[in-house]
Parts: sequence; structure tokens; C-alpha cells
Amino acid sequence: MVALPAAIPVALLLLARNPLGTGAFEPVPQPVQFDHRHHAADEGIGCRYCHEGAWEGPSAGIPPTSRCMGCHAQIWNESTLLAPVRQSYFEDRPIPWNRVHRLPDYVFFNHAIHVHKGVGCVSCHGRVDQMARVEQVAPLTMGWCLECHRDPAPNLRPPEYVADMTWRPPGPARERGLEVMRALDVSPRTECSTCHR
Amino acid sequence: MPPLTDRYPLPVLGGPEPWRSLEARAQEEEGTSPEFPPGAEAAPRGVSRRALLELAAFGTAVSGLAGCFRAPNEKVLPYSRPPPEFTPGVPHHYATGFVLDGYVRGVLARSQEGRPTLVSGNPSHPESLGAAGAHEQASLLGLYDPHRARAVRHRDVPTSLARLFEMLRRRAARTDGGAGLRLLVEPSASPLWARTCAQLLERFPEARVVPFSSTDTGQAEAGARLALGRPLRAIPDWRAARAVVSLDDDFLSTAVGGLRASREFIAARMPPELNRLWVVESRLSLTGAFADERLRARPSRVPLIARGLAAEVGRVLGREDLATLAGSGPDLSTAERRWVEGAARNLAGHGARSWVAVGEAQPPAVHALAHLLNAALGDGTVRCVERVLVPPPDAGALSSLVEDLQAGRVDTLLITAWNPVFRAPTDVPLGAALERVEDAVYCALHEDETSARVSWSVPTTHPYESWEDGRAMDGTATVLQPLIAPLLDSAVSPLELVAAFTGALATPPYARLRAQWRAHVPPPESFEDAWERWLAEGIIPGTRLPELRVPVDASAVLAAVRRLPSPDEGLELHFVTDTKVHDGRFGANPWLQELPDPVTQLTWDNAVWVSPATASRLALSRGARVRLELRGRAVEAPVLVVPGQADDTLTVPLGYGQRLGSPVSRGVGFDAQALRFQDAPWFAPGVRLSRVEGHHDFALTQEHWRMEGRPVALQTTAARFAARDDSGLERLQAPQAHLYPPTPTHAEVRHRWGMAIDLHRCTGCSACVVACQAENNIPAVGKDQVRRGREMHWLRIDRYFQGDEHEPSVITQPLMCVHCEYAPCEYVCPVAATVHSDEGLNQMVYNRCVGTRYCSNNCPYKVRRFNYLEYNRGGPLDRMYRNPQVTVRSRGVMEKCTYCVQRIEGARITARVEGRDIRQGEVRTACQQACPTGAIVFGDLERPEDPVSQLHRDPRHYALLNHLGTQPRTVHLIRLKNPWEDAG
Repeated sequence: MVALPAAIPVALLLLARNPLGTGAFEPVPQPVQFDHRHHAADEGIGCRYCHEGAWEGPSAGIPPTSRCMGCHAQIWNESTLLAPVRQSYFEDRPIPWNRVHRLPDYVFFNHAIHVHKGVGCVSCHGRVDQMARVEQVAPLTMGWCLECHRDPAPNLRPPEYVADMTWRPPGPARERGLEVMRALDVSPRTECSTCHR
Repeated sequence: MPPLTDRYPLPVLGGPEPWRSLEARAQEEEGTSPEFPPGAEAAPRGVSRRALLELAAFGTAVSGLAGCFRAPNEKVLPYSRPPPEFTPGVPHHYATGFVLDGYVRGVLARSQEGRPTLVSGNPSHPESLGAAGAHEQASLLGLYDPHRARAVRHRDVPTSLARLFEMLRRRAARTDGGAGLRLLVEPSASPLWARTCAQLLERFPEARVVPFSSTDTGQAEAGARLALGRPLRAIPDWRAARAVVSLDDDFLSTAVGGLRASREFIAARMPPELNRLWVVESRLSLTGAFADERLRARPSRVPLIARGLAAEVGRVLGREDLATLAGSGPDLSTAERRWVEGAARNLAGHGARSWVAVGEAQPPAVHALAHLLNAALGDGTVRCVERVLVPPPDAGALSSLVEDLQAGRVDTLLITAWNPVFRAPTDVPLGAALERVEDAVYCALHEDETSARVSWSVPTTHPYESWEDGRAMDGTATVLQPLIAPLLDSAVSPLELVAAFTGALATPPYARLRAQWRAHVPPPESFEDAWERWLAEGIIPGTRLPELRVPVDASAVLAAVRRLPSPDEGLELHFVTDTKVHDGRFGANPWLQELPDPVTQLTWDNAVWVSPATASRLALSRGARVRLELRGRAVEAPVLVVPGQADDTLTVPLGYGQRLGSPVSRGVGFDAQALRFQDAPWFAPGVRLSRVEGHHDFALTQEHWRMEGRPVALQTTAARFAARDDSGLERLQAPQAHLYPPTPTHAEVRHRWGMAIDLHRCTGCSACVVACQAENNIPAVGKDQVRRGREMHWLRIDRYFQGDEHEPSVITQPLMCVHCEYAPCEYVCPVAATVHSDEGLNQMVYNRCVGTRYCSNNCPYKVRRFNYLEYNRGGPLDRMYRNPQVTVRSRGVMEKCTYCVQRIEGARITARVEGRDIRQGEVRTACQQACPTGAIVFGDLERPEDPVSQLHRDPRHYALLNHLGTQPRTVHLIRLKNPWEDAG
């Protein structure tokens, strides 16, 4: 009987760090069947075309409907799959997308600083260009963040390859990363207030 | 290590011991002083914290096992069509303005995803110069007020805007030339309003635009007319003035013109050359607290003292006409004579570099006399500008309107002035008269006393939801642009109502505003370019009023002064505009209600202020209830004994005791307006005071967060400081030995953040307190919680008295977490929720905090605040004004000043994305940004040239409670006074 009270907290802790708890590897259904495989891989539209906020501010953002309509006013402009998009645009109401990557309210993450210091999109978001429905591939736990903040070298790449889904370091990743660290003056912080304010 | 008593001998600088209140001092002498206010330990009602944790743990376990461990799904709503230049998460700033007493003060509003979340000062605006007072900053909360009026009502029945405009159009199609049409408005400096009124009067020459203001009673204007022949406004040059005499003028408060006045006055006061401030006043005001030589006198005695001062100045300057003023009239007391002689010699000694200021409450002759004195001290003229208020304030206008209403001569009345029924003089029966008007339309933010009396009550748009314009006191014009679309469908801007009568209903205010200013553009520039620039900068260049130099009609002034009545005897009633709720219009604002009054430290209340001597003569103590009776009108009110108050003077702040209106203001305090008669707007003799049963419990913060008698707010005289009389200060500067474990040294620290608070610059205006509250999502907790000592302000302003209770010396001290190098709080936290950063910040990690409160217990500065209850509950509107860059704390979590770490980290990210270091001055804390006098300086101690590093080396700096060895990152600088004796 002593084992049970001890086992519950241990089980909960394990659960919290498990994909079951973190919500990783679960494709999230969306109101529009937007397929990154088609847009990012087949058509070769870069991440930055829609998620330019990642380079400019804290949030990568989901593109406004007007961005979709830039192309879809011309092509597939009668597709029933895109009816919600047209409705959103003409009624000027946002499309209610479902959030995939969620951080707690007391965590303040900033995309711009990561992107500008050579953290690739793929490093945290995985091969989005191969996902029919986007899923979270990283645990997004504090331990996972700190792993990289303490030793970022293996995960860094030259900033021009940040949005490249298939970039591989020529040679050992750590050495390439260390070069990037020197070039971009990368000095990740691990103080609490870096993320908790 | 020597014992503490040796290392911290008291008193530090000599002089009398500081004390916080009479009552606390008496208790300390008796040894019965409690450390915490009553009710501090009372457990909250409902589910206890422990039970809640148990339930939460159980709930988590059960739901976890059930497989629903994660938070529910969240929606992301992008724009369907984004506004230009928008990046999610990056705030925009818009320049607009805030109108108080008719004049505009420029502000910048920070807008996050379209929601204004912070109001701060506009550095390009002459009245703000980058600073913002408590009112401007708290105006943000007024926008999101959930209690705003929502429905258009006709005789209490909800109706629609369409019906209202149908009525207005019918009324506008009149043929009587407007004989039955009246507007009741606040005097405003807005050119658009002036033009709208002019258009209305052009169409309806018989109509009347009636001005109403309860703060501008036209006395200064009448005085100017007397002395200068025209209702001009004198403009002091605070930067040049070396000697300033204030006759009952609280010019350092953040009222109209106050931000600029305090900035410039304090700039001219910095050591080694201090100016000297002489104040005569009836109650302790912020200006009086700052004075070098303060004289307390009942309000009706101030004219006599002014006269004595003029006579003495005349004697010193050899001006016969002035000197003859001494001959007649009652005599001055010894103290008054001493003050008058000193002030006169000081003024005369500095000649044109001196200034005499008079408060609105004084009769016109005193204002005129000040003009005469200023002219006599200078080159015979006074620097003035035209007054731009339309219609000009006229105290008699309201009663003639009421006569018209009672006689049934008015069928249509538009009211845009805030709650005139509540603010009208008690002998002007506006409320009853309004009921006789068939179509009286009242446009307001709340359903209040006036709404209950009119036939049509209409919700108005908040000033941040509509287009308008306005001017500052020096004439600088600003376009007031909306920051958000109206939150309520049925709200209508007052300009649109009036438009029904100017035939401009088809043109929206925006178009009218642009038409108004189109002519102002100098030829080569296009209007669109100029307009964009004006909106971006917040000022319209070339609109400043020309400075006039006007001679003074001495004989008229002297004749008026000779006719001034003698001072009154017996108890005297003295009305003052409240520092927080003004004339009541900010009563619905919880931030302002909970802001401790800078002098009395009273929250959520007003009181009758009496002097200690009068209190003991009448056997009154704090909280005693009294009945005040004047000419047949009476109110019941609680008493507050305030040191420094003039004897036999009962000061009553206006603006409280609303019976209707927002639930926040309803029933808070008593209505002093009930004793305010037309002919005695500011002071009245013959008041009868009697004790009534009962006791009133104030929510006073002056005895909270006790410093256990340790002198932490220091002041000395400039002469003593220059002579290095105070060796005690050096003991407060050198690092002290301590037993704390050494902090790990960081080799590669790029910044060491630090702060300096200059008490010499702090007037105690409390703008920083509201700035901190707005920036850091600090809740207002309500009167009951404040009474238990649970107010959440991270930044408090302590006010200490020193010396005699009748003539105390006063010092204000802003105090927030000082970010100790060796922080006592950090050593006791069992869960490492408060830890030190490499850059010297004492970080608070809310998500780790389990609420033991050990840290607060161990903090010698008492700057930590605990969420005893869930203070951040609220509706959707409450979520809108919060700063999204700061965590909203919940129940059971400790919090405190973070040095606005969100701004540090924001600046770091911006700088490092651009591949550079944080620039000097790039990080400004919210309190620093708001401070009108620049008393708070934040910066990087790693840079020797940073202003904060220089202040850390200033000979006036000291570390709070230095003997504890905590080595605070925030140092304070002592305040210097410049009393007259020193100059000899």
C-alpha cells in the first residue's frame, strides 16, 4: 500500500514529459484542410512567405486570409475546399485555426531572436513540408528548451538556411554551429526572466 | 563584525525622527503598536487555499488518469485583412491627447493587436514632455470600464439611437431662432468645439452655450481682467525662477499645467544652486510638502498675508503704492510676519527671477495682486498668453440656465458636461429644473445623477474612441485620434449630437476635423502629408500662442485689494479638488480610487481634514463621525487628523459620495458638494460641527509596510550638506560586512542593471504608482482588502513626517524592490522561486511560487506583495487592457517589482536581432517613463557614463538599510531643503 501514493506522482511526472502529456505527434484537425506538403514542398513556397512574423517579432503568426486570396483569387477559386477561406475574406471574419504549438501563459517565447541567431524552423517544428496536418514534434518542455540554451552549437546553422527544411551541416554539426555562434554572437541565456516575466 | 547598533547609529543625519501618522506615533510611545493592520491574518471566506490545493491535486490526478491531461484546444484568429505595418506581438504607439479641465495633455498610447494597453506621455508635447500623470495613465481603465452606460434611454425606457436622432432632427427644424435651445458644456480649448458652437449660434442666434466647470470658477480669469484688462493667463518661467512664492497654489500637483511646472521647477532646484519655495496654504498639499518655508493659514487669511507680502515687497523695493497696503487691516501674527518678511526679501533679492503664484481658490483681487507683484519685481510687465477656453468659464451661467429651465423657456437641452447635477452648487437646483425640460439629452459614460433627471440619456464614446482636437495651455494643438473602434454599438460622440443643430449631421467628425485644419497647412506641403505628420507627432506645429508682455493697472489692483474682506473667525470650510478623482469624474476608476492620496495615504474615501490642535480642542480623533452644517445644508462625514493642516480649517475633498453612477464610485466617501454654495465655491465661514454616533474605518495605507522606525527617507539642508556636516551619510554608502554567502561571479556579464531614486526630485505625485500598475497588470483589490494591508502596488510612495505635528516637515519616498545584491528573500525560498540573475535582477518566478511568504517575511524593505485572493478575475473587458508581455498572477503567488524585466528582455531581443548591444537609455522602466521630474533613473551600472552610474557615485546617494549588508541595486539620493535662515 506504500507503493501507490508514491507511484501516482511518479506516473504523473512521467506522463507530463511523455508525448501523451505534451501533445506531441498528434495531427491537429483544422477548419480548412490546408496541406503544407502541397504548399511548402510541391510549390516550394518558403516558410517566410506566410510566417514572416517569425523574422520580425515574437510570434510567427498565421497568415491573414488576404494572403491566401493572393493566389486563390486566381487559382482554385471555385474549389469547395476553399469555401471557408473565401467566406472569411468576403465577410472579413477570421478563420478559427486550431493551435498546434502551445506554451503556458507564463512563458514568453520570441521567434525573431531564434531565427536571427541561426535556429532553423525544422529544428523545433520538424518536417512540416511532409505533414498533411501539422503536428507538434518537439515536447516543448522547459527541459527541452534548456538543453539547447545550454549547448546551442549542434542546432545552429547559417541564417540564410534557417527556413531550409533539408539543410545538413557539411561536416560535424557542432563545429559548424560553433562558427555560427562566433559569427552571430550567439549567447543564449538561461536566467529565469529570459522566458518568465 | 561589530554589532548592528554600532554600525547603524540613529539618527543618521541628526534632526528629528520620522513618523508616519499621529496615531501610529502615539501607539509606539505606548508600546501598543501592531505590526500588521487588523484583519491581516483573517482567512478568506469560501474554499481555503489548502483545500483548493488538495482539490486541484485530486482533480489533476483523476483527469490525468482519465487521459485528458492537457489543456483544452485553443483557437488562433489571424486577421482576415491585416492593417498595414502589422506584425503580431509587436506593439504600435499612437500619439493622441487627454483632456482635463478643457486643456489637452499629449499622450502616447501603446496598442497591442489593436487594443490600447498603456498610456504614457508624449515627449514632443509641451505640456507632457514625456511624462504622464496618474489621471492620464488611469484613463486606460476608463475605456474598458464594464459599467459604462450601454443603452439609449428615453424616460427610463430603452430606445434606439435612431429615435434619438429623429427627435434631434425635429428639434433642429425650429423657427424660434433657438430661443428654447441650450447647450450645457465644459469649457474646452478644442478648436473644433469652438467652431461647432459658433456654427450653432450662427444658425440659432437665440440659443445659449452654457459653460459649467466645478474646478475653474473664473477667479483667476477675473483677477487677470482686473490687473491686465483682459482675461489672460500669466506664464511663469519656472526654469529661471530662483524664489517662488505660492499663495495657496498647488502647482506641483499633476493638475492642469502641473507636469510641466514640476519638471521645470525641479530642474531649477538641483544642487548646488537651489531655488527657494515659499508656500502659504491651508491644508498640506504636495507643493506645501515640498516647500522650503511653509506657512499654514486658514484660506480666508491668505488674502491678508498676500497683502502683507505685497506691502513688504513694496517697502524693500521702495514702491510707495505697494508699501501703503500695510497701513490698514488686521495685523499679521508673528509667524506670518516672519514668513512675509523673509519671502519679500527673497523675492526682491532675485527681482525678475522670482515668481508669485496664486491658486484658483483665492479671490480675484489676490490674483491681480500677484500680477502686480510679478510686474513690480520684473520690468513692469507680465508674460501672458490668451486664454483659449470656449465658452469662457462663467460661474453665474449655470444659475441663469436654471432660471430659464424653471421658467419653461427651454425645450431642448444638450448636456455634454460630466454629471452637472452632482457637481452643481448646492443652491442651484439643477436636478429639479432638468425635469421640466421636454427633451433634455445627457451624453455620458455612466448612468449617474444627471441621467436620472433628464428625459434622454445617451451613452457616449470614450475620448479614446472618437476623433477630436484640443489645445494645451500654451496653445499647442493636438489631433485626438481614436485608438480603438467604439466598444459599444449605441455610443455616440457628443460632437455628433451637436452636429444635428449645425446641419453637419451628414459629415462625420473625422471629416469635419480635417476640414477645420485644412487651412492650417503652409502652401508647399500637401494636406495629407501634414496630417499624417501631425498624427504621428501628436502636435500641430505653429499653433503655439504668441507670448504677450502686458503692463499692470496698479491703481485698479490696489483699490480691489483694499476692498478685500477681513479674514473670518471660527471654523472654516475649505473645498479642494481631489488629487485622485478630481471633481468626481474619475470616481469610477478603481486604479485611482485605490491610489493612496499622496498626503493622507487614504484610499477609497474622502474625509474632513482637521489639524491636530483643532482635533484635540473639539475632542475628535481619526474616524470620528461629525455632522457639518452650513446655511441649512448638512452632511455627515468622518474625520481625519492631518498634521500641517491650518487650525480651525475643515478641508473637504470634492468628488466623492456619488449616489448613482458606476458601482465603483457609488457610496464611496461623502458628498462635500452639498455644502458648496455659489458665492463660496472654495471656502466658507460659519460652518457648524457636531459629533454624531459611530466610527468610520478608513482604508489608510500610511501605517502599512512599517520600517520599524528606521529612518529610510533622508533629508537635510543644502547648507549643512555643502558643509559636510552629515558624516552619517558615508556610513550608508560604503559596502558593509555581512554573513550572506557570496554570490557566484559571472565572468561575461554585459549589463548590471541598477536604479537611482532622487528624493530631491520626488514631489510624491504618484504618477509612477499608476504607471507600474498599468504596465505590470497589478490588480486593484478594493477597500476591504486594502484595510487588511493587502494592496498590491509594487511601487509604494511612503510619506514621512518629521518633527512637530503642527508644522511638520514632510518627505515622500518611492519604494519598490531594491534588487539587493545579497537578497534576504532568496535565501529563504524553499522552492527557488526567487533567484538572482547574472545581471543583478532579483527575479520572481511565478510558476514556481507555492506561496509560503517566507520571502516577504524576510524582506527588510517590505516590498513583496502576495495574492491573498484571486484578484484578477474579470470579464472579457478586463482581459483587454492587460499588458500581454507580463504574466497575470493568480491566487497564492508572491510578486514584486521586476525592474520591468519585460522591457529589458524586449530591448535585448531588438538589439541582438540588429546585431548590437542595448543602447544607453534604451530600457526605461514604466515608473521612470511616467515621472514628471525625472526622479527615477534606471540604467546599466556596467557603463560608467550611464546617468544611473553617475547617480550611484553622487555624494547624495545612500543605500537603504545599508547596515544589513544587502547592497541594494537601487540607491536613493537624499533630499535637500533650502530654508531661509541658511541664507542669513
